[in-house]
Amino acid sequence: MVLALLEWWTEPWSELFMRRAFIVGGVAGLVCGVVGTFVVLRGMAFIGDAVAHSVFPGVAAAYVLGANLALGGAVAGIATAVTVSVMSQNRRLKEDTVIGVCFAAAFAAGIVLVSTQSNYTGDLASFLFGQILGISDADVWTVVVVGTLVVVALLAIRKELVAVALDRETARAVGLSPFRLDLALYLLVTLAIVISLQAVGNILVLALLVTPAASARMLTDRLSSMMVLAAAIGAGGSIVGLTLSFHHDLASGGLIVLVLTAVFLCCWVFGPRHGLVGLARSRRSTSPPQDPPPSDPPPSGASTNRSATTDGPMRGVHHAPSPVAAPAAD
Amino acid sequence: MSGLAVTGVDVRLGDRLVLEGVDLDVAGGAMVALLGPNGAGKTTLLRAVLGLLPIERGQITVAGASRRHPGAGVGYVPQRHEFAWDFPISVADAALSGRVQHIGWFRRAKAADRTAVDVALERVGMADLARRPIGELSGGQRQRVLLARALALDPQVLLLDEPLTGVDVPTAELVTDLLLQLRSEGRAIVMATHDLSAAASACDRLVLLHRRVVADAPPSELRDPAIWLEAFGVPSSDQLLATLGMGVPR
Repeated sequence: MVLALLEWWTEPWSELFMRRAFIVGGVAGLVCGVVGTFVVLRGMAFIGDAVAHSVFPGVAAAYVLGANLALGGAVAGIATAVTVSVMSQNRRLKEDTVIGVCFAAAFAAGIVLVSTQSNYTGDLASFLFGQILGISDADVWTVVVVGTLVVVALLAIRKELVAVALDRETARAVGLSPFRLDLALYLLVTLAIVISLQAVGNILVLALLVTPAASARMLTDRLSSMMVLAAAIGAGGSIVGLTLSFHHDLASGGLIVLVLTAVFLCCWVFGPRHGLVGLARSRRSTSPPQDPPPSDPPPSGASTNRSATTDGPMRGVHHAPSPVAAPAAD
Repeated sequence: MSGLAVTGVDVRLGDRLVLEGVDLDVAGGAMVALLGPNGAGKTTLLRAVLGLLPIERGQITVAGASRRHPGAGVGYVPQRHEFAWDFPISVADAALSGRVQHIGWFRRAKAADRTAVDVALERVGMADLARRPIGELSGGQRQRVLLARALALDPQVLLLDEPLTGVDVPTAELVTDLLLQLRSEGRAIVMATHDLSAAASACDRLVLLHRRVVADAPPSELRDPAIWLEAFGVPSSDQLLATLGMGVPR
């Protein structure tokens, strides 16, 4: 039994094309997990979707021109990311509106480009749904090198990204540029998507970006742990999905995403503090007397602070209801 | 000159002149309340001082230096809802984010940065909760985290946007007492607020803003109902003056 299970795991590794698939899928899952942490925390899932779709015209153009598909996708994705971040600086339009306009336009351009070709369905399908079982050594190296660069770059500007995510205005007030940091994040998201296209394809890449990070968020309240967990879930999910695909001869991209979704559902239900079970348990343990309102424990040193000023001249009226505040507050 | 000097400042947002000819001097060791109805330009003035908005005319200096670029010397405590409280980060790391530019690109926080955060958290009474996730804090505790983040930079000028709105009485007292301490250390403090009674009891001067500075005087001198009418569009009532502890002779 144990031996059979072991063999089930190890058998795919004896095939060269599967070893390549494991490396590409694993690295893509890892990189998307790390980058996806910020996508999830910033509420940028829609941007991820937009970039993924806008990679399409670039690939189509590269296909028509006979150029490198991944390079074409990266150029188009980056162009869309830059356009979105420039246009959304105009606060009259919300960011999701700008994204809606841009990515539909990009996808439309891709379709028109593709329709100029007569014999495209095969390559198109492999691009849309992934082609991880037919990749070259050069592809593997590209994914590993670009993936490493993306993770290193993201970790290098992590504290700046955190400051902007926490509070844009104050980050600007201390001299950071939220616009440039947004742009950097979009570029990293684009690169993470481009290197994941072969693993799961254009349409499902959003799941690789969002689902592992969302699972990790259910498990932890620390950013570092969330990044590590998301990376582990992304890489692990890819490898499990590929193994299933190998044994059952089913679509690898789809299986990877379904495995990740199963992990997410488990985290959502069984997450220790924020999962369904955890919430029910904490509700049961706090409910018997009644829900106390969140109260501040008396801060240490507060009493000494207070004694310094309790004899202020107008202390008595300090917290009297203020008639001015009411009309002033609209 | 260690404080803040705003001289003849105009700020335009779109077509609208939101601030016109605003003068405001806050020396080190002074605490000023910025009062006015919503839309009077309180937050706009704070943002202009922070260098977040271009000024059309006039001059703003902090500690004697013209504000060419934002940052140095000014601490900012924004309204609580401006902050992403659902982010997975501890109280200490949230406070540390105020020093991000001080730490510098591609560098990690040093012992001095950690110490500055510890001191700031101690001052706001949050040292015990330093490792707690910010998502689990109450409204009053959140306000204190924002204060600690600003204090972590040890600023000479501190700007606060409605720090007393929606916090309970102990927190309001803690914040007010802390501001009085900071003032006694020679810092210049500007607080935009709707809490008139707190402003009157704690601040040296009340600045009534309504696009321009309608009045700028110690609380005890602001008895003229016409001033309040101009700033707030409502007549000053006996009740209002009673709140200020002035009692009107009948």
